[in-house]
Amino acid sequence: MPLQVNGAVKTYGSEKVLDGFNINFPEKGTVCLFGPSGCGKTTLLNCIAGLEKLDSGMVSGRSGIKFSCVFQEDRLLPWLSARENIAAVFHDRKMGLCHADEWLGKVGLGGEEAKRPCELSGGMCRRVAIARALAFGGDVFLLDEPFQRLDLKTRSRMIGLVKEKASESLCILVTHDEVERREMADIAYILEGPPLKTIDIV
Amino acid sequence: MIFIIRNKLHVPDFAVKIITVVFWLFIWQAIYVCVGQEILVVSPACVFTRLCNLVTDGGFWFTAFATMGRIMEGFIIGVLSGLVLAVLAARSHVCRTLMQPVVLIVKATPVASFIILALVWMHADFVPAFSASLIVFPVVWGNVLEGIQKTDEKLLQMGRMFQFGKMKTAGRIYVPSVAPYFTAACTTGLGLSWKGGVAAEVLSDLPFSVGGHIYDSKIYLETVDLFAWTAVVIIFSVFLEFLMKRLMKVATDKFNLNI
Repeated sequence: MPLQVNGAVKTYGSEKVLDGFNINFPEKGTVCLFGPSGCGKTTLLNCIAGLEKLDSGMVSGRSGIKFSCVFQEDRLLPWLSARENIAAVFHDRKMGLCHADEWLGKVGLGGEEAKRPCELSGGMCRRVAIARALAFGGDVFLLDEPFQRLDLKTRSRMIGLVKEKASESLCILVTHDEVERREMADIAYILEGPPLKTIDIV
Repeated sequence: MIFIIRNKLHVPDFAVKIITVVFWLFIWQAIYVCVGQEILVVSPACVFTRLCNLVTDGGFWFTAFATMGRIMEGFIIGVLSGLVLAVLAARSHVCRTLMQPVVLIVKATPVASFIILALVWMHADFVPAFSASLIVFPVVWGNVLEGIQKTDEKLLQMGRMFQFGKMKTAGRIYVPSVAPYFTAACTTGLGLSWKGGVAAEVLSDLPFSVGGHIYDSKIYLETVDLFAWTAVVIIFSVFLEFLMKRLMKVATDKFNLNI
């Protein structure tokens, strides 16, 4: 059953971020949620992932689905090395460390495995967060402004990696960057808010 | 060794420490000279001589270690109970609400009241440990609870997203987040437990105890002994605090808990 959001309502204090929002996702491909900062895209993504509860409405088609996510912030564990941060998402530590080495190499961080987030630059941390999400894998990738703080060359490389890994999955990309939208999206929902609403689908 | 770096006077750390000790010994000596009555203030030299006499006496070490044993027993009980109950309080709002008045009462009640009550309730041998544990408990409880509550919600969400499970969430997120709060609580609590434990020994007048000797020195107006035994408490407390900080440092390094 494809992922669907029906009649989603979410309020923070007196502000309604989602007010009866609906969206249907395909089973695979890249869907871009494109809109200005603060319009409610991240809230929608968190509700889809089940990290935040809707006040009313529902997200269906979530059961049995494995999600992976690149959060808007890196959310790396500050006390662990880059390698350990990736390995932490695996149940088997040895396997996790092998995957971590492989993915750190892919994102161009070979040789930086032992460094902690505080010893890495913002862009490097971003790449560790991307590597963690891709190494974890899943049926649905939630990417919340995943390429921010990356230079053009690195961003292009990361987009290639994401496309390759997520080709058989559903990829929900939240961005306000026109280039990312054009390079990645199969479908783009042009949004504005709050409350979040679709003004166009391209 | 004093160096001048970019027109600023740079004094090495160890020199600053030595200067600090000498400065305060000088102040102590000055007060002693000004007061001029040995029954009120004794000189540093007298205390040092008395300490040297004490440590060469076999009974001293037995007494000091007996006191340390009682206090450490209370400290460990206080730390463990504070830790376990803080975890329970963090997990359950009902538990937290139930515990809050108890912690508030324990914090606000004068130590002497607890010691005297404890003397009524139990054998004097157990009172120093009981008193030390009661002093440590609220410090550890409060700090650990605060540490758990201040654990970054975004990291917890990340853990949920990547299916960490309870054990991994505890080990990878909660423990490292709470570790600095726990270390601070233990360091503060250790010093407080010595204060509470020795106070209990004084009021219990226990045999083979530092507090007992402090009590005797008060009775016989032996101010030199009072200063010397107080110095013993300070030395043991500082040494144990140093030892615990080292142990915590080793543990945090070993388990990657330091940021």
